[in-house]
Amino acid sequence: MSAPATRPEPTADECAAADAKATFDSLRPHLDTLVARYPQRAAALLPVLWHVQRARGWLTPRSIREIAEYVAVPQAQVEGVITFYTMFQDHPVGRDVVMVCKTLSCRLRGAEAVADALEDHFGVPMGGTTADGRYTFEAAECLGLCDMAPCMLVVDADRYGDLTPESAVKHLEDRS
Amino acid sequence: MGLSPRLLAHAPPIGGRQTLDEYLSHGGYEGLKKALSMKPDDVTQMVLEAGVRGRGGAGFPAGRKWSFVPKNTGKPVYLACNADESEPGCFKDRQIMERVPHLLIEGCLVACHAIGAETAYIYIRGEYPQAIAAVEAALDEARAKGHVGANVLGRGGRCDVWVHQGAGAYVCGEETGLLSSIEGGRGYPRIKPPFPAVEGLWGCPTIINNVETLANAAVIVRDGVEAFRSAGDDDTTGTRLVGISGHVEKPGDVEIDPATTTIRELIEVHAGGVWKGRELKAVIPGGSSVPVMPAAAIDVPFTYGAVQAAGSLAGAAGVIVLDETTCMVDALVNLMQFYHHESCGQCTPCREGTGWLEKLVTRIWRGEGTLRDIDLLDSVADTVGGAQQGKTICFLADSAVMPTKSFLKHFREDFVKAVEEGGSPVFRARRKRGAAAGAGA
Amino acid sequence: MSMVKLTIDGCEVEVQPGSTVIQAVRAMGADVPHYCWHPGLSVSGNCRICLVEVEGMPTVQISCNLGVRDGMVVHTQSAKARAARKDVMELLLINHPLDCPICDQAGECKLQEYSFEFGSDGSRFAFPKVHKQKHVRFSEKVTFDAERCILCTRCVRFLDEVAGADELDIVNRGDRNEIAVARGGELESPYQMNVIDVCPVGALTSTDFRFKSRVWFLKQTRSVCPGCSRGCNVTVGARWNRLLRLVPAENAAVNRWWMCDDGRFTYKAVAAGERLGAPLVRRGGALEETTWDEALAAAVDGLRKCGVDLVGVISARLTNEEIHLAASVLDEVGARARGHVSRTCAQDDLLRTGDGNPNAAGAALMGVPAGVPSLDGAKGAFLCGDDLDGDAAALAALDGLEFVLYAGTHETATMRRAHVVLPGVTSFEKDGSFTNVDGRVQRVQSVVAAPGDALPDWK
Repeated sequence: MSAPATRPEPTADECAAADAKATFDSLRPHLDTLVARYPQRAAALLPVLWHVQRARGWLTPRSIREIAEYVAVPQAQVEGVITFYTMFQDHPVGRDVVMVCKTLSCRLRGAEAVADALEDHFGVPMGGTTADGRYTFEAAECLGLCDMAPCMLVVDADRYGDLTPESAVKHLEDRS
Repeated sequence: MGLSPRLLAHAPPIGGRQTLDEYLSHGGYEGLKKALSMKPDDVTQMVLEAGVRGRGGAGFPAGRKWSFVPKNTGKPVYLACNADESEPGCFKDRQIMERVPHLLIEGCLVACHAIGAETAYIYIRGEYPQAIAAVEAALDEARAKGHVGANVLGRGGRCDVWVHQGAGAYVCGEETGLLSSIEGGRGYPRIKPPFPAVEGLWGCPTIINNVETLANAAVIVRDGVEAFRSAGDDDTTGTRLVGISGHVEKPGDVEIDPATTTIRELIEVHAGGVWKGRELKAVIPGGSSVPVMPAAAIDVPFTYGAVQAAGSLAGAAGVIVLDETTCMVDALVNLMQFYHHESCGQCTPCREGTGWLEKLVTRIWRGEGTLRDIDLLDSVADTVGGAQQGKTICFLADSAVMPTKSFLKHFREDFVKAVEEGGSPVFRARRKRGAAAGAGA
Repeated sequence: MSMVKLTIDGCEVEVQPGSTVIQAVRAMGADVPHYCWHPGLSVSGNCRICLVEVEGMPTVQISCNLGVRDGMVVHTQSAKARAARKDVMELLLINHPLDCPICDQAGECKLQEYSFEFGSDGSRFAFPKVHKQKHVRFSEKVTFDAERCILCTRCVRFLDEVAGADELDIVNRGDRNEIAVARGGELESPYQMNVIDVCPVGALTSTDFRFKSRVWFLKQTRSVCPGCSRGCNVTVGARWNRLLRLVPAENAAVNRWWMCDDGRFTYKAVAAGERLGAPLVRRGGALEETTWDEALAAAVDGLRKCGVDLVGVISARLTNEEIHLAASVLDEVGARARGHVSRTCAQDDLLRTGDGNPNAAGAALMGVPAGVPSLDGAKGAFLCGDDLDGDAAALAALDGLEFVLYAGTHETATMRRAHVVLPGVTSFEKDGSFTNVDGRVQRVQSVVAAPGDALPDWK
């Protein structure tokens, strides 16, 4: 969502590479446990999207079709949901997505300098992915980590707070 | 002052999680045991008498909310815990989820018993992986010990509690947007009526409570009404968890007695004072959506009523502190970017208006505005919404309008200066950096 | 249940309990501006233009979702209500393109209508508008312009709630929201063109009709769709004596606000193929043009000679009046059998009946049952409005007859076997009535003039 609207469509190779990470059938057993938590199948859409995205890195066109069929929700609606939430990715992203908070409490404590340092060091603007495919950076609205502002979050993984331009770069360089 | 914390009593510091055994050793799940021995209506009555108001921001009495659930509809009743803590400046619910998750789970179980629900969903924002992991781990423990599941505490009642992970949308913290999201949809707030207590999740009666509200419910039943009311006053009963951030020495979370703790004390005593020895300029006391208060207005206790009387709202208790060097135009641009980005786009005034507000403030921020643009900003804010207008489905647009109006009211001189001096100092510094780096601003 | 009494703009109104305020306002013959609300769809409450003031309520209320209560006092025209609606109107327009001069919706656009009522003479919005996709193909029938769209979701709700096909949804968020079909997909519903009608602005347009004519130049005539036995009420638009479109006309008892896409294209048959423009008689093996008088004389002569050995095929696509007249001719001659050609069409639970004859019920009521009677042993046949082109055996049987009278609109194989041909007109070219599948008799009106000397069969 935070990436520019003119993003190129994913290539067939990119889609195939993501789809190859996990077959949908291999995901089904866990997905079935998610569906069981709700009185209606469609309600499992968000958890199902999360699970497939974790397994494949991002939500490929094939994933979207498979998910739509699995939760019995029209494809147009699944796409509506994916594009509504910033954390669902329907384009290829880096191995880690780094959300760099830009909202007030962080801004007051130097978030802008942190974002600048990350952009300069990794050579990509917010919304972009490093050339080696390691990180995708996103300018994020409040992450709820105002007590450790300025902060950033590696999606589904670690958070880093009390950042300085230097420490922000170092944290990411130190991640394996 | 001198308050012994209740919610965060025995809470490990950030990074640690109280286990089930630790929780039990401090009287954990005693409240649930007590609740299960009571009639559901008596539990609701107890919460009503305790007077606890919703800690998510609106401050609606929780007991009254519970009493709205219609009886004998033949439909299941659901509890939805609002843990989509997304209001800029707020991080208090995260403390409960990460550090004392069993307190939240116990609160959910107590509420479920009171309202007759067998299923609760804890909607945690996707940006909180640590909180999600902590609550999931606690739920695993609770299920293993029979606190959650088919036979709660061996009394034959079923109560399932599931975590539902959000995926990045502020509007899902609006209680009906949250319901849309649990049902698997875009997080669109819903028109009312019907009200969720009558028709919520899947058309069934549903109660939506904030994390801290539910944690308090567990405390109320465990300690009793009188003990609960020993903190706070008649307007704001019990303690409040307050997050303090921005220009302070020690940002963080503190549990206070709202009746005896002023905003000034929150800053000076609990957060180590304004940072770098600077003077205070302004405080946004309840999360970014509430009106900003000038420094002179902060000698008020942190109760709903007192803060409101002082011209703002205690809201979700996210105190954002702004020091004397802050350009208020820059702060407002930042907030307008937030509301524009987070508007769900469902209804006209918010979809169109939040973007307009951002564009107008940005023009002033960039030094491209005129003095008339300042008045225009004020007037467009009225066009978009505001408290007690009713133009929009939910309060998101009003949440953009309230800061705008109050920033202009209290800090108009910053806007005038930006017009007269070629933009906000922050913008000008940024342009210099851009020029130095050989790029555009 | 007793009626609810409330006061709207000073008038006391009684409405059914469970009504909403907007329904109450309309029941008294007035209206409240509305975009997202549609009487045939669920309440969405997103456009916010139907705001009204209600005494005792601190905020303005959307009248589409506000239930009536006894004693309620509503003001639709108070300063507060008008100011709130004016605010919403201004916001609706800030990102809306100013392309009314080339917009197909111009003239029947609710944005234009309410701007006229509430709008200001200038905009306070001095920024580039949000740009979105334009002329997006939703299908071969429907074209979408995202910049004109006001996100009222009527189209989404129509497909979901009425057509049972969730083919549209909204993607993105906030002011980048757009209506969209699934990536790589298209609209497939046989009722998809209704989204064009429900669209209150120029976002969804008919690929077939767009740019053909400004709507205010259309001659609009209320009539009945000839596509099937449902008899959907339609408004037929024509210009320069050419049919340009069919859109549904509201009729709560028949088609409500809708019609199927097949029905919309029935007008195309009128100008397709070779129309018959003059009466013909067979002379020395060839059909030659003649006058009506001569043709009729030849017809009467031929029919009389056949007498009881005449078989009549009277189309259920004709009007009741025509069928009655043709049947009288058969009675007069003493024809031994009669019937009409059965036609099937798509069938579903919404509107399409599966019976492709618009007047099957009328024909049956007048003794012209479904099915072509046997031509075995017959001397002659009177084919009125129907042809036998779909039935090779029957067509071959015509060759063995002494006399074939054909009254129809187009050149067909059947017509080429006739001895006398009388040129007829389509249902868009005549007045009359159809009886629909439920026995409802509905008026058909002439929209355009027929080619040449063709006349309705009753003339």
